[in-house]
Amino acid sequence: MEYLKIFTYWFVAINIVVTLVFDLICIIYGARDLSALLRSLRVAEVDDSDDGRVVHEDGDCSGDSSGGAV
Amino acid sequence: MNLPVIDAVLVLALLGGLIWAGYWGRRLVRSVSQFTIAGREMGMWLGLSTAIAEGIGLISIANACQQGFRNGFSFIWLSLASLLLINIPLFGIIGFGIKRYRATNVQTLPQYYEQRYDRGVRIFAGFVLALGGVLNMAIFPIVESQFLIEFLEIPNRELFRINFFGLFSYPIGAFHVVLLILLALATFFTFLGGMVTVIITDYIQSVLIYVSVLVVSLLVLKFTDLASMREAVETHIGPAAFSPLKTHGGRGIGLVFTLVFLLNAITHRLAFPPALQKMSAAKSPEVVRKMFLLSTIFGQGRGILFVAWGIAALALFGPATPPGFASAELYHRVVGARFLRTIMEGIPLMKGIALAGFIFASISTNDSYLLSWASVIANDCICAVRRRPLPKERHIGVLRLSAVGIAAFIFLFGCWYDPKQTILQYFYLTGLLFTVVGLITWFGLYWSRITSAGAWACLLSGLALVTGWFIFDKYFMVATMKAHPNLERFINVDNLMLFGTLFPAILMIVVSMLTRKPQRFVDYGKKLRELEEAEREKRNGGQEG
Repeated sequence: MEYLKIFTYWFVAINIVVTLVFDLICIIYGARDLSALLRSLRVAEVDDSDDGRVVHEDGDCSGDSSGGAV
Repeated sequence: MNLPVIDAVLVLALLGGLIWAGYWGRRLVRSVSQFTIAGREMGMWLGLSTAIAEGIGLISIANACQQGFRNGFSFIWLSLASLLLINIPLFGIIGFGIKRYRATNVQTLPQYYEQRYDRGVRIFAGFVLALGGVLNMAIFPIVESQFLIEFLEIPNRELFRINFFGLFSYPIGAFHVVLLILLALATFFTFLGGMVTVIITDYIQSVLIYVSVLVVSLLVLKFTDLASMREAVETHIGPAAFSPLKTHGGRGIGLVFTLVFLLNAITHRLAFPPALQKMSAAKSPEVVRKMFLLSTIFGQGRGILFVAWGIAALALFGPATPPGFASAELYHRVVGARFLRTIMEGIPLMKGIALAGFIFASISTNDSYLLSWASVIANDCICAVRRRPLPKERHIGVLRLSAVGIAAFIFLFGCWYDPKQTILQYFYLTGLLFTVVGLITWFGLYWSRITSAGAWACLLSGLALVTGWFIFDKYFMVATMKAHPNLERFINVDNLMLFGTLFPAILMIVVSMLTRKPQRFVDYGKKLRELEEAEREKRNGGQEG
């Protein structure tokens, strides 16, 4: 039980520190991605058929969804 | 209310800035796909930083504090087990399921069901998801309001009464006002620009929440030293504080709950629309996998930090429920707020920083969830029924109205409902509906033999189980347990969750075997390999050029 306790305390401490550092990195690089997103939204071509419908190419409901790139 | 003026000014200024950013972002939305999934243009780091804001909801702070106060660190083992056994190997490294889901290119999960099964499954699954999702989400603002009322020491007395045509009247108190404010703020951001506004404001919120959580955690450490936290868990909870498999005087988490937790870690991965919608907004399947891997390995500490706050509260207050609380459950739900309020007393701006963090944490989770459920209701329950598509403006209008409708429902639900289960168990009970939805997604993506009839059987059995449990719990549970006390070992939420996962899965397989061979299976594994091949060739071509 004593090992379990020691492991738990170390696990808690290390995880908290690692997450705090990781979150800071995400926030810093996230600013770059946010600016790229805003730029691409401004210039993106609008596809009105990409509205959640499923395309019926051969009369039935099969096939890929409409619009958008993978 | 116990909030200094300077702290209140700080909170209002930060909220004002956020509202301005959201208002500015709305003009970038020009299509339905931009409203629902930001045009599938979200990069990896932005996805991770918005996940910080979405992941740290005020509800998760309250829940983690409650878990820490009641069960110590035992909850951590559940996270570690799902991390090592499931999340890292299955999803983070292989991208099992999540890459295929992103490759389907859908905006909402039920849209995939129309591709894979038929329109009927899409509409019915949309209904089941919306029901489970809205009920699941409904508790968020309720618990958050209770948390904020406790944190600010707002007396919950009657402010006025609403008279319904002389037939009956309903008392409105501080709880209703706080609930209304939280819901209105979340709805405002969803209404403005959908996913685009949500991403912009989530990013801003992640910065503030990060600062707020860091400052509060340092204060917790200064106020409650590590030795007394250690002594508190070992004295008041004992061995159960370190192992989820041990129980101690009603504390601790049992074996069945652990098993259910691990099973849900798989089934819910492809069932929970708020998380799936963020996956759909990502640039590519590979970005989804990388986001998941990084956040799984490095993001564990967030939840643990709040568990530690709950343990610090245990060290300060002890386990007894003080007078003035209707039940121990209600006390445990707000014990984190009471603890933070106590340690912040007299420190300038501290309450303002924490309150802003709490409000932003509430908004960032609730607006994402509102958008997701609104998308399911609008796209899969309303637009899918129509023969002809709606014009773009009207479609976005339906999405906005759905968000407002959900918020109104949650407000009314909050006026009426008082959940008796712990927060986590409530999530899992309503989450049973997600389990059946997750089953038809998993089987649909990986097994060509599953038919629409099998999917229907799975959905209907899940819905019947949840409805049956609610009726039994409300009308027959007390009498049955009184007559047969031994049955409590067998009839409980944990066993229901386990049965509710296995039975619909078996039923779906049996019904699929008995019905005709399906024709709508698309091998997304093959599609992913083709995409990766094309990507490699493109890179090689670029290097040669």
